[in-house]
Amino acid sequence: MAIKLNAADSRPLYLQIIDEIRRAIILGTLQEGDSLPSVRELASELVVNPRTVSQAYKELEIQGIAEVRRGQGTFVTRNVYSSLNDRIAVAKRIAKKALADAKSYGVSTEQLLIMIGELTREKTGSSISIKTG
Amino acid sequence: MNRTQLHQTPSWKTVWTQQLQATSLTMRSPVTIALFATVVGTLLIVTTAWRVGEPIQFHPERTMFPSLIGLLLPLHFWRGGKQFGANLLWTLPINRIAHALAKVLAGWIWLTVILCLYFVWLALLTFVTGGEFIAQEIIYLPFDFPGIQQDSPSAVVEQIAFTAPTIFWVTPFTASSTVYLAATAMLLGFKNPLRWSAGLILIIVFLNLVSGAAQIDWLQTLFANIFAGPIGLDTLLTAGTEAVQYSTHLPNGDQVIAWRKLPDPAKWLQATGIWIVIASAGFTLALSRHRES
Amino acid sequence: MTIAQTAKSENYIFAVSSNGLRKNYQSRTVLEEVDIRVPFQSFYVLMGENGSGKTTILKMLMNLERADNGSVEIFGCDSKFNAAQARAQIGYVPHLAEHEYQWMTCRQFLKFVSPYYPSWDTDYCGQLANAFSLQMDTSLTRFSTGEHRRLQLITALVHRPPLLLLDEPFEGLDPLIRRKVLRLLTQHLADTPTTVLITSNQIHELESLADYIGILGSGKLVAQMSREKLHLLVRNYSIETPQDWSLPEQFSGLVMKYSSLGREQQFTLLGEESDVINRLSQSGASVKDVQPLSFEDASFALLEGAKQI
Repeated sequence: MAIKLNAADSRPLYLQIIDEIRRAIILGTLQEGDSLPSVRELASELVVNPRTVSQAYKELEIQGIAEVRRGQGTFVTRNVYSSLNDRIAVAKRIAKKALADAKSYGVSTEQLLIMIGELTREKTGSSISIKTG
Repeated sequence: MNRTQLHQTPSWKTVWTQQLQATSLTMRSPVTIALFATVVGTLLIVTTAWRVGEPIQFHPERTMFPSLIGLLLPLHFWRGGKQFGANLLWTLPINRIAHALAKVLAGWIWLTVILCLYFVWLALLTFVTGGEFIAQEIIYLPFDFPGIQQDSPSAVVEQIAFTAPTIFWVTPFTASSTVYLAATAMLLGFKNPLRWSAGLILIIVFLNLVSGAAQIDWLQTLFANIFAGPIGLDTLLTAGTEAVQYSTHLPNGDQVIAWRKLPDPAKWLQATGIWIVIASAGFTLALSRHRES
Repeated sequence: MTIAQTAKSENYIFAVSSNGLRKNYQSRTVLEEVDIRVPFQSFYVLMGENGSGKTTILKMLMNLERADNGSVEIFGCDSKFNAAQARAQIGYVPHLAEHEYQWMTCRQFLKFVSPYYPSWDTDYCGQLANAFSLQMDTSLTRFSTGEHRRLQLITALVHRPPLLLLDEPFEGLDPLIRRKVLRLLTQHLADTPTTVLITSNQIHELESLADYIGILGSGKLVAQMSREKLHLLVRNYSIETPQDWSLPEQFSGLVMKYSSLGREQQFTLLGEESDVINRLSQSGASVKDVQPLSFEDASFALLEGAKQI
């Protein structure tokens, strides 16, 4: 599994790790019952402080996404992102980021939406309808 | 997390063993070379003695060889180290002074071992060439007569029968130990021991030249006493048998080696005591630069 | 007693703490009132320009250099009066090492050093020597700088000390080996709970390991904080200002970086965000945007700030 961290990202590392694992679950790379790499493995692969990885795993456990089985490792417990609500939450986060980027370059929300529509048409050939209001 | 214990320091026994072992390890190559040289040297000496018909007499005090060993060993043991910095020896979990002492003592044990071997070798040479251990020898002394220049080539000399006291056999040990201590003190006490030694030698040579040229008598007397005086370095290193010898002519024209004066065991004891005290003081000062607090 | 217990019972939250360390060389001040606090089991990166006194501090922790004033405690052991005990807790990689055991082969050297540390792990030693591909039967005089550094790292790690003092440990190592060393160090931290105090100019390599940072500027510890705090306290403020506006006096010493483009001015400032915004607004500037910085950027901002002081 490829977990990537971005040094330029100013968010705490453990949050980045959590997001990456969630992403893997959304994409189906990680499924219910799969084991997560051990703290030692993941830490040395990413060259991250093992305590940061532990922290991320603990957080995942609190969120009910992973569970620690003594002596066996950490496992994915449920496929949270299959539910509609979770997908909406992810979509919201991506949109937020896009809006922030747009703002920093002086692109208006409308222009952004139009461009998303155009790009989607180019790629899939079908138009999407955006409901506003 | 709870498994991390406060770590222990090593036992003194461990430190001693390590220092002895490391010293022995570093002595391997010099000892090999020395063994080779000894074999060659022995052959040469024995054949010459037999050919000339002059046996080797047992006089371990009449050579600076032990002192040379005492000087070379510290240089060998401490080579490559910088004693004022993150030297490995000082980073280990042992009190620095105790650690240095362990290393110095381990080296000194080796020095003693080498000297014992040297002693045995000399004894064997004496035995093989048919020499004597306690031999009476005839020594030319200046005729003690006022107005006669002792050093003049044709000075009148008298002959005296002399037997070197056996206590002089201790000289190789005391001499080399003192030199060993002094050299170690230099190496441990100065950031740039070689620079300091060179400087010291230059200063002495310079002062000697100046005092000679400008006729500063007291300075010349001082130097003469330090090196060849009754309790000078020569007495420490060779029991006062080296610097007293000079070449002169007998009235019949024969050239002989004469002695200015006979070596004196009491003076030798004094000299040894004084120089050991000086070397120890220097060594203590040098060590104190490495104290922990 | 375990260190964790000691830490609890005697209130040592710090693996290393120094009080008012001061050092002068002749008339030059090398260290001035340095109070370094390395929290128990943290990964503390000590940054500073060359000659800012980083190496001197580590040497003082090892009691290799005498401070003119001040004291150091390593897990509660005074580094001066209980020096041997303090050093027993430390795995030390010095910046430069010149010792009189260079004539030994690598194997002889490890065998020589190992008994000094009762907790020496012989298996681990073999593993690391293998991983670092050290020639065991080569004399140390023939080792390259990089090989010496790797050997120092092995000696420091193999007795699994509670505290690692690493002085520029990656200097002289080529990039591939650096990567390997970092991996092994990470694994070491996962296996052995360790406090790490490391000096390095290559912050980007340690970025993801660090959780504490100390900044030395000409002998003074100008900043010392956790990663979280750094993240909160060092931020980038984009502001638009009326003409003839200048930054209020109260920000002196808190400006880490400044740049401007057209009307927009950017300041990297040290302080609580809400407080900074308040003060900026009161001075007549309008804050357009506030951005947190990555760890590396924030550290460098602090380092640059330290230069100005």
